[in-house]
Amino acid sequence: MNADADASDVASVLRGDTSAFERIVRRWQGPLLTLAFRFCRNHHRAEEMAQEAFVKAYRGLSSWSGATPFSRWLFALAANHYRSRMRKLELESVELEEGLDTASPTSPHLELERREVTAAVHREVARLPPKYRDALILYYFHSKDVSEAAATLGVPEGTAKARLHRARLMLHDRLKDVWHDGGRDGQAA
Amino acid sequence: MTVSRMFGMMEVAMDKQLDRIDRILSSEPRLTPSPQFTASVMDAVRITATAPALTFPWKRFLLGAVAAALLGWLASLGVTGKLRWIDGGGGHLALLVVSLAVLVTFASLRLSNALSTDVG
Repeated sequence: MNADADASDVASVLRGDTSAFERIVRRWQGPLLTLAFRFCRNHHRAEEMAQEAFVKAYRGLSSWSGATPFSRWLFALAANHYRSRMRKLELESVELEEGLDTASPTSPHLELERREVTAAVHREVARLPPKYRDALILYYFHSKDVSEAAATLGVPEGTAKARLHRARLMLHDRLKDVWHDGGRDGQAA
Repeated sequence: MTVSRMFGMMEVAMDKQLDRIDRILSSEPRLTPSPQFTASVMDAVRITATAPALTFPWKRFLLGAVAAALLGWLASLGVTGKLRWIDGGGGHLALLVVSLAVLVTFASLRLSNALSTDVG
């Protein structure tokens, strides 16, 4: 089980066995990279940010009390680091990549339209005010689990819910042109 | 068309659009790191592990504390009027304190630069 393996590896690292940290990296690199990508939407930068988060985790490993799951501690630390990195980045200068597509192929016209709408949604998420953007990213990262998103953000669940609600409305409002210009509901999904 | 029916249709459209946003954001796949990612992280971790711990810059701290205490002492003398012999009634005390402050700032900057060069 991950939790036992985490606790055992953390104990090993704290005893001075640096190589035990590699098992932690292998276990959590996928989720940490995915989360970083959802913040910066650039694969190369996401790897940089995830690496920095792991180094921070290594340095602060002794601050994990064991009272909460290691994953929760790690995600909170990583999200905090990503948010602080995003504050420093000029969003305009960041090259946004489209996410990887998993949808089934459709006609070229509908496929193009679907890609445009998807890109517009991601672009507008990135442009939301940080506290709303962060809530939205973490909510979907945690497979729509509000309590996990709130724990990662370090805010009460009610606050996270309110931010999510506001974020969704803002997003809907900002995407009005996309819906009017070509987003035919349901057809491309 | 009645107003309530119009609002109803708008709500349905909005729900559909919110659903679509929800579908797009929910369907983002998990990423896999590049093959050299783990090695690169572990290299960075090993560098961190072997790097000497940063020590508190006591030299700089003591120097700053002494300079601050000196300025504080001078300022208190000025406030209580014990520096009237320097002032000479001509209002030179303020000029003296400002000059001293500029001098101490300049010296602190030079010294901290020199110390940081030594460390680096």
